[in-house]
This record gives sequence, C-alpha cells and structure tokens, in this order.
Amino acid sequence: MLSEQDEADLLARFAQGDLRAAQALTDLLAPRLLRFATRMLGDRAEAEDVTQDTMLRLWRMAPDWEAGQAKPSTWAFRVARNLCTDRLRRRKPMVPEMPDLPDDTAGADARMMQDARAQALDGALAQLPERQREAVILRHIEGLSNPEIAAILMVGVEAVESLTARGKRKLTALLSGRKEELGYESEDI
Amino acid sequence: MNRKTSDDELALFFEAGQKMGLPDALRARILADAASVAAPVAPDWRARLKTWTSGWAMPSVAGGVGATLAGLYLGLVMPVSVYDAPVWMDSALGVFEQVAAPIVGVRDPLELGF
Repeated sequence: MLSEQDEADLLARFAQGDLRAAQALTDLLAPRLLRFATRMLGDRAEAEDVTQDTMLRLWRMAPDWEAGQAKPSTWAFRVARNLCTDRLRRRKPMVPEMPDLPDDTAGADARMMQDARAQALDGALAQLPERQREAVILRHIEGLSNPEIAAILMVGVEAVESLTARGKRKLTALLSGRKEELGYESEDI
Repeated sequence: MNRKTSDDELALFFEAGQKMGLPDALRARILADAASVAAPVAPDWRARLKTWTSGWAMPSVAGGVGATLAGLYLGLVMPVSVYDAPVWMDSALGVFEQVAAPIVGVRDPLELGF
C-alpha cells in the first residue's frame, strides 16, 4: 500500500499530463473501489459505474489537489461511499447479486471453495446495517486504518471501532452455521 | 487440536473477499477518462501568438493605433486656433445646415432659440 506522499506524487504527476501515473493510480485504487462498491450495492454493473465515476472525479480534481490534504485513496473512498449511498437511497430494497470472483492461481477445487467463501461473506455482509458494512469492508477487506475510515465515514475513531466490532460479531454469528460446508474445521467460531 | 478463534475464521473469509480484480474493460474506460482529462501540452509560441491575435488584443491594438493617428491628424495637420472660433463655428453651422438640418427638419438652430 502506498503512503500518502506516494499517492499524492502520482496524482501530481498525472495533473502534469503523465498518463503512466494514471495507470498506476488506477491499478492501485480502482480494484479496491470496485470491491467496496460491489459489496455496498450488491450489483456489479452499478459498482463499475460508481468506480468509473469516482476515478473520473479524481482525475478532474488532480490539478487542484493540495499537499497535506487527506490521502487520495481516502478521498476516493469517501466519494465512492457517497455515490453508493445516493444509489441505495434511490432504489428499493433488493437482494444483492453476488459477483463472480475469479482467481486463476488456485486449483479448481480451491477456487470453488474460495468463491463459495467469498459469496458467503458477501451474503453475510449484505445483512449488516449499512454503516457496519462500510466499516467492516474498509477495515478488514480493504485494510484501511481506523483514522482513515473515520475520515471516510465522517465519524470519530471510537465510533469506527464500535461499528467494526459490532459488524464482526454479527458476521461471526451469520457465518458460524456455514463453516463446515465451506471447509473450515468444526471448531467453535 | 488447535482451536480457531472467530477472528481466524473471519480472516479467512476476508481473505477470500479480496480476490476480486479489475475487469480490463473497466480499466480501459477509466484510463480513457484520464486521457481526456489530462492536461494538454503547453502550446508553442506560434499557437500562443495566433490565440493572442484572434482574441481581444488585436482589435484593441488596432483601435489604439487608429485613435493615435486621428489625434495626430487633428493636432498637427489641421490645428484649430481658439481665436479662430467664429470661423470654425461658422463652418460647423454650415455643416449642420447642409447635413443635419435636412434630416432633423430645422434650417437654423438659432430659430430654436439656442
């Protein structure tokens, strides 16, 4: 994961017309934004639109980016989160469509198991309240720090810790019934 | 036998959830957006001169030059003395009678009580 300075440097290089910096930023941020949006919206096509829109806003904002602002990735996650929230508010409740999760490096059995686990995780995440879901995804799947998540969700660090802890407790309860079918030991969860 | 904690098992789920990659088509769309937004290369001096002359600057320069020439003509070529006021005022009235009066419909401004 790049530091704040590295990300800001890439953005500054893009603002000067360096498209290789845009490629590096895309490879760094877009997959994470897509995962986040897919799990928030439960719809791959909408998540791709949100990801593209977020990156477009990042490109447009690049010339005005000031050193010392939040990390570009934190800024991008905040934009993506707002776009997801807007879309969720506009539509009726729906059952999330689980995305395919290709992994060419694993064998067929392992890949199927991995996919099943990912789908089980997505199904459980979809049952969490929105803010818990956001906090758990950002903390445990995208690996952001609590202060970064606090900046994205615009809450305090303590609130992030609370949201994450409650989300994980509920996830544990939701997934405990499926651990054997997903290849985990039949120990307590 | 090792006993797994809930964190261990959730970590495996979370690890499985990190495998989603970026589709090539979406990556291409994002980079196309970046290319369209990227700052253009700074124009050379010819392009800048062309932009300058096609904007407001050229008419302004032309207007300035024209005003200067008119001032020089009035001040140097056909100077008008204050002491000759009756003469050039009479000429001005002559112009009025010939040009303005037929348009306005008045033959002599003095008839209006000026």
